[in-house]
Amino acid sequence: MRPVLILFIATILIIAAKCIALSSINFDVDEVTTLMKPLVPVMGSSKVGFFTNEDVSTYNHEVYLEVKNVLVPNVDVEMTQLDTILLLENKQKKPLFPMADYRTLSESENSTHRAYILKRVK
Amino acid sequence: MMSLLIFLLTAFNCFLILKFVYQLVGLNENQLYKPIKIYTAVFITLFLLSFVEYFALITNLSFYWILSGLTILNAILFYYLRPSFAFDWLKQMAAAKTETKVVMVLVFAMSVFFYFHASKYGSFDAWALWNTHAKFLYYSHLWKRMFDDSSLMSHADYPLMLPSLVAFFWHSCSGASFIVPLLLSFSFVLLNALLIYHGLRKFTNAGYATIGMLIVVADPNFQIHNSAQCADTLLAMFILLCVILFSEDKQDSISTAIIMGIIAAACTWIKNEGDLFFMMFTIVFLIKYAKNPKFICCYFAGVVLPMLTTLSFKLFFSPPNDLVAGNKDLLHQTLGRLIDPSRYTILLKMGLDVLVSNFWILIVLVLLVAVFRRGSLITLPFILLYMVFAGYVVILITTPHNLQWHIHNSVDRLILHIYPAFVFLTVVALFKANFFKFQGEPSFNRQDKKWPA
Repeated sequence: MRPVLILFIATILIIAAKCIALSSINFDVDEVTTLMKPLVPVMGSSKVGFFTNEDVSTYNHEVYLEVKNVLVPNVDVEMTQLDTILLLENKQKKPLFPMADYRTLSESENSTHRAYILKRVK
Repeated sequence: MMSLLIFLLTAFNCFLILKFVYQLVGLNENQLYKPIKIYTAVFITLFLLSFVEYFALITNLSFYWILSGLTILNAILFYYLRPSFAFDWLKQMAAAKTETKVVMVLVFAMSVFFYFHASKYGSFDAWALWNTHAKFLYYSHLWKRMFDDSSLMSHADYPLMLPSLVAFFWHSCSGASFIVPLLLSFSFVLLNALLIYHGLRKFTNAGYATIGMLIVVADPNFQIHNSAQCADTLLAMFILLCVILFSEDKQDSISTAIIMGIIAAACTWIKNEGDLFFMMFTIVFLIKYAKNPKFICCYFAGVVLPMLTTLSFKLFFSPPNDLVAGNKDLLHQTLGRLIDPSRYTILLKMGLDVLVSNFWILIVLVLLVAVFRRGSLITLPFILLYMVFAGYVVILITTPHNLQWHIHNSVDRLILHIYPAFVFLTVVALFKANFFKFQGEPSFNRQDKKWPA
């Protein structure tokens, strides 16, 4: 076989191998599901299995809306998606999404943001 | 079974659109260099797919209606245009010359880098903004909820080309798989590298083209974007194609002017920074072709569709941009920032840090051109990039946000937008200076027997 075709096929195989390897990386979905247990009555049992890895990773907006409604049902505040995550983290006392790199924010930025959210939610 | 059928139907429709766009790009005896024609067709197809997804959202049509419409339209076009489906590129690849082997080795090297460095969900901006926006678009009945979040972090004013492309392919896969944005991201970096190669092959010889491609392939700072899943590399490749087409100087070709209009205006649909590029490109375009009103009219004809797309989004859906809103009623503060020397000192210091650490090769290339071919640095394509760069400087200096925070978070990406175009122009200048003694002639000479003005 011609070298170029071999390289072409090898390139495709490497990319495919990487995609397969990445697809086996899972977030700790149990952690999130535990955290979301109080939400089940609100969301309905049919939605218990709603949280897939993709939803967790991109913090699906439907999850965000439900979370917001439960956490701050009658509070007239605008919570961002990041606010919600940070708030949940704060309640959980540990990072919610292990691979998320929003924690690359400086310590002061992060703590300021958390304090701001808590102040608004209270 | 149904999912597979939708995927195959979408793939076939995309292929047909690409084929028809390729035929349209070649109309009017346009003598564009063949690989550049292919890239142009790919870029316009990307814009059209994004437009189709956006059109479906604003008209509340489901993806299946859109897919059916596309299939009927493609069937009609197929009947009238009867495109040929000769897979010449496969035969050419099989009988490849040394030149193609070198390119393929570089592509292989990129895939190896991708294997070791790719991350599943990309960088922070990818999962905080771009993929989140794509998910809103994917749930088409809820997509306007994207604008509910008015905080700075959500950036709901960002244009939707990348999110709508991701959503389009998610629809075609019948699921929001991480593979779609990941592969799109890799494809954009790959297309940047290949476009540099073929752009340089047009104006220089194989040796210089390989060096140009090698610069971006061996640049870890650039390659790290192969899985970033952000729109920066997408904007960079549209800017690069604009610069290549602008260097072609085909005043006799109406379709080239229309193509330039589409590609330049499509930048505004990718990122807000694309607005600045489009304005600067239009200015230098008007200067260059001031004596050719027909060419200018054709350029603006090409601008219409992408510009309408962006304007409809900006006027009817998007919240105001944070930088514009922040400076709106505070003209005196903005002017104060502009004349504050300390802000320039901060920008210079932090900007130089990024340039030296991440884009040192660019400094070397510009210095070489300054020594061996100074005149090239004041040609219109270079001036266009300086103008874009100057625009970025003004935006950063007048930012209503914390200056250091803003520079820290954006200067790397801003330089990245014009980086491939700079590499292209500097390598062409080095070729004209005969810096390396490579044998061979440009494809330009072989086909057109003339140099661009």
